[in-house]
Amino acid sequence: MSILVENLTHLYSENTPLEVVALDEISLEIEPGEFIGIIGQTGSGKSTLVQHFNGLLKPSQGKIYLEGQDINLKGVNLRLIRQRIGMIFQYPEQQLFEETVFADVAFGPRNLGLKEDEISQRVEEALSLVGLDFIQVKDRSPFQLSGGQRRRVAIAGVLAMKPDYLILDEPTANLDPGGRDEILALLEQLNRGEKVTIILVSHSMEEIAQVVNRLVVIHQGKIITAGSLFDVFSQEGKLEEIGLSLPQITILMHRLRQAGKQIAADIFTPEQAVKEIISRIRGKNYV
Amino acid sequence: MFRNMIIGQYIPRESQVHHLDPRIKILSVIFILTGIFLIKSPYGYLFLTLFSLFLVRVSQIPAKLFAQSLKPIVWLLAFTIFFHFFLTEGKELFKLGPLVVTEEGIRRGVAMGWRLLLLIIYSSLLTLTTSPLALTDGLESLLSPLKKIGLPAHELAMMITIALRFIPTLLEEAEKIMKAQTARGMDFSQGSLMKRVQALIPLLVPLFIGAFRRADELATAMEARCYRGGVGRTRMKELQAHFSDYLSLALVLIIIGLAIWVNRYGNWSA
Repeated sequence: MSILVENLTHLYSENTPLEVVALDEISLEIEPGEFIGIIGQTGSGKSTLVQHFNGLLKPSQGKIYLEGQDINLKGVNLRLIRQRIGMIFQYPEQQLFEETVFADVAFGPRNLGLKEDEISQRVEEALSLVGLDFIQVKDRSPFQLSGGQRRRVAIAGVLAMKPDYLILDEPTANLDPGGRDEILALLEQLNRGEKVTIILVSHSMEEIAQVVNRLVVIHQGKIITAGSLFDVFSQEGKLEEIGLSLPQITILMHRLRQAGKQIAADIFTPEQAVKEIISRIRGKNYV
Repeated sequence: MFRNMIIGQYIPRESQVHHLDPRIKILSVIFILTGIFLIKSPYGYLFLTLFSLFLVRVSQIPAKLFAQSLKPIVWLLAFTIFFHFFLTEGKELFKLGPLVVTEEGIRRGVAMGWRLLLLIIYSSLLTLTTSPLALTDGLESLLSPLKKIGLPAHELAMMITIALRFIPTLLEEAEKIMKAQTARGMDFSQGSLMKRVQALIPLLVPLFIGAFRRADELATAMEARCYRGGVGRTRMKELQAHFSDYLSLALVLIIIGLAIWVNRYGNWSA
């Protein structure tokens, strides 16, 4: 019961002089309920990888299984797979096209052939999940909304399809810190509350460290390392080699440890750091 | 899906054809294309065909790519030859049911087909060996004498450059939007004609909005850098024709001259 990727290779412009190996023998399993991060530099192949999960791209070699089912076999209903594996692209607000917010969010459910009352119920749910007021926005044009609101409408458009897995490609690009935190909080809520498996593609360690429980590092189409945040972040040298740095707070904690302070090694967010430092100071004074 | 489309099909190589002054190349192609229509003798066509093979060889561009550029006109070619074969009056050779094949028909069909092939090969030679930028630079330079009668040569060239520059960007964006809508359960390739046309709305609306946004941003960026048209504008790379460029043009003219001269030995398109 998972998304299973086996020896996936993807070539762009296959059999032409411009052929590029975008993915090279990738194998990966994504378990239900996980919150997994896929990190890599621009052009590392991370977006190409996730577009295979719901059949938007076909592998040059290798297979992708959704719960044991090879999704690229003939006769597989890809629409069903795309309902189960939702995909939110970078700058999703650029895909809005309908006259009203309601119609745009309803686009996905409508393609699934749902009944009108089911559709409007789902639209209402999805909009409230992303923190928009259904009554207030439903009849407005998506193009009258602010950038952040437009992005949330676009995300609601995918959530309304009720996917079991949700792939997000750089969902916080171009958002201010407030907007970013809201999106990340929404993802955590979806993962914990709605039991949606989340696959977050990003190039920002800071962001990924805040939310994921497993991390896959991709470089030049290959998986460099994968594992828990702790496992991955302990390979600082390897990450730096491919141009990725640890979250600043983790670097700071490493320095404190090097300076002889008693600090836990698995600190990846400022919140954790504050807690840890306070408890260390208190420990010293009060024990 | 759009990745394999050849548009602005420039293939960078370090050949003599690539290094020719773009103006010389444009002029040569214009002369050759005019020549093709003046030539009536099969010997002339043969002559130009050999010359094109020579240029293809020198340009270091794989012949496969030329074959690819012929693909879009295969049907045009087939129809042209077909109609000339059967609809030309003259000496009857044989009959296929109600259709009469004449000697003149075969000659004319072959001549027209051959002409079309030559037209495509020579114009592909230009676009395959000249970067779009060099091409518009050359065009601007060639058109600049017409500025005196009010033709905005620089603005035209700039428009072409910008249009060419944005084709890949828009294709990329179209691909992305299509994927995004496909992920939302849209199907672009199935259903009745009406359904497929409707399926274009979720693609075209975001695409147009994106194009207008980009145009706006580009205009601002150009104004911010004080762009105000061609007057008094200097360039980093001035086009300069060398002796070898003139020599090439002379060679082309001689070849065309010879090809037209052999008209006296046979006329296939009368």
